[in-house]
Amino acid sequence: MKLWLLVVALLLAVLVSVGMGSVAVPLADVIPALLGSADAKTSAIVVDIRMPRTLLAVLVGAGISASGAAIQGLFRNPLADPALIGVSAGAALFAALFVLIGGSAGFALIGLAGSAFVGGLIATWIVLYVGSRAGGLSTMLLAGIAINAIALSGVGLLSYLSTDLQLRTISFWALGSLNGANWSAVGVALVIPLALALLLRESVHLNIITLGDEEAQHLGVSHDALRRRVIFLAAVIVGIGVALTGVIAFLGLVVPHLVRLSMGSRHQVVLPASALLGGLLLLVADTLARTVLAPAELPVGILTALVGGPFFIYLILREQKGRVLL
Amino acid sequence: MRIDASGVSFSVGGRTILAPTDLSLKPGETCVLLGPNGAGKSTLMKIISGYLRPSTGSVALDDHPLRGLSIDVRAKKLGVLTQRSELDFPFTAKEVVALGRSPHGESRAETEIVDHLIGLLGIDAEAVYTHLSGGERQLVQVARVFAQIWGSGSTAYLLLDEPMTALDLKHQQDVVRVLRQLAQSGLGLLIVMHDINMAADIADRILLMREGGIIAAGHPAEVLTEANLAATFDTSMVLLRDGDSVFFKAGEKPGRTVR
Repeated sequence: MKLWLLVVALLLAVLVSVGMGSVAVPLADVIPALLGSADAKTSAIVVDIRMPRTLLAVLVGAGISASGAAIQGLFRNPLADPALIGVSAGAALFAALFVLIGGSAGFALIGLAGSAFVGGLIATWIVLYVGSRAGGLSTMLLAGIAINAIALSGVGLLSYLSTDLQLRTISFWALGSLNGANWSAVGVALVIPLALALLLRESVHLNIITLGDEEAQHLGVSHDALRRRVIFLAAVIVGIGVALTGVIAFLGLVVPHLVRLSMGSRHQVVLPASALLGGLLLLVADTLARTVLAPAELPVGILTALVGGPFFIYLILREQKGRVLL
Repeated sequence: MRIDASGVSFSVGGRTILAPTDLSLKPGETCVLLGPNGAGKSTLMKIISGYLRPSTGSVALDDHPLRGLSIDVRAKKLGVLTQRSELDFPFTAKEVVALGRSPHGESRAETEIVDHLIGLLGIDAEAVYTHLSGGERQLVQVARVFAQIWGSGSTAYLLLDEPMTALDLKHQQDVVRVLRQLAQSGLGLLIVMHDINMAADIADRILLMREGGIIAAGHPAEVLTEANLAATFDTSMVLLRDGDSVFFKAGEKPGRTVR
């Protein structure tokens, strides 16, 4: 698998996805619509409805997958994942909290994203703190599982306390869906590629940290500083992703794994390839989610969990043959 | 130009792991730390490498306080092999060795050094690290640390904590050959090992450690006596002579075999 193949596949998927839906738009009409030379109805469907959703799927899928890859490198564990270690749940809890407190309408989206970012950051810090106090990466993963449970029960408690309208919004995060996509959501999501670019600059350091904290220090990489930078960036990306689309599980785990199987472990390759493949897979999943049961719609988080969960179990079984993971 | 540890000690929760210890290492010198498990060898290494802050005392590298130097500077002067590496990602052996050159940047010369070492130690460059055996992994890690200080001559030092425990005899010989070559090029070597005979073979100076302190230090011929070794390892040692060569073997005291 080469990077440019992924780019081509992603571009094709964008064009196909924009054409698919309750009103089919042939590929030949998609490009004129994007360029503004199609009729008003086709333009409205393509430009106002499907394009923002498609872009949001690509941006969030890319962000979640690449930050999954970075977190795996940082935790030195190929099975770490923002959703597994509680980052996504922490973000969802704070997003729900923001909804309940009732953020002002004008800044709702940015407030939501900021709140989710803070939640993700707190969750990751707790996991790292417990890990550094009690030692060991397995401790961190176990702490992540606990954070996950606590944050999700917090979301549950908030939904219990919420009004019907708030409940709808909150349950949307628990499931994960791109239903709310619009151009302002895409605007907020544009922070993701910026954070990804900064994450990419840490590639060599991430390669080195996989050797161990002490080894990294002897090679001139401060693990504490790297940890702070990568966690901050991952929390930004996952927080924004969760604020805009809810918790999308397993993408951050499965995508980097697929990438490493065929393209090796160097983060210079793993990060961009995970971003491309993650964007592609979330777009495909969302296109399926909104078309298979049309006119009804499946929350895409359910779809990724349904496919990703069994695949995760398969990975565990496969890996256990060769080595110990925790 | 040397590493100087003066009065370094380390204690955790009131328990002394390392009593105040002095140790210096000159360019071109090979110094070996011998001692039973828990003697404080690795702790002393970690203090000298700058990873652990000593409870008392200080370490100087070429007359600069070690902890005052940035880790970038240290990475160019100290190649450190720790006992465990947690690498759990499918990097190729060559990619792992190349990580050792990262403090120097990526250039054609760096790649040549990596290729040279891989050839020298008989490593399969494209082998996937996570598929390798314990010994093969150790060899790759040793090569990575060699790569880090390769060509630095007398401006760098190597600190190796049990570099050969998992290696087969042939690869032990390969590593020893490279170590001698590095020492000749002016590099200072500090090595923790358990093989007394190999230590006697390569060391200019041996330090016997026990219960957090150095109980004897000096030229191998002076230090490696049956009495010293028995006191260090708490088990009888037999000294076997074959012409000029001396071998040590753990065994019962009365069974002394001197030819």
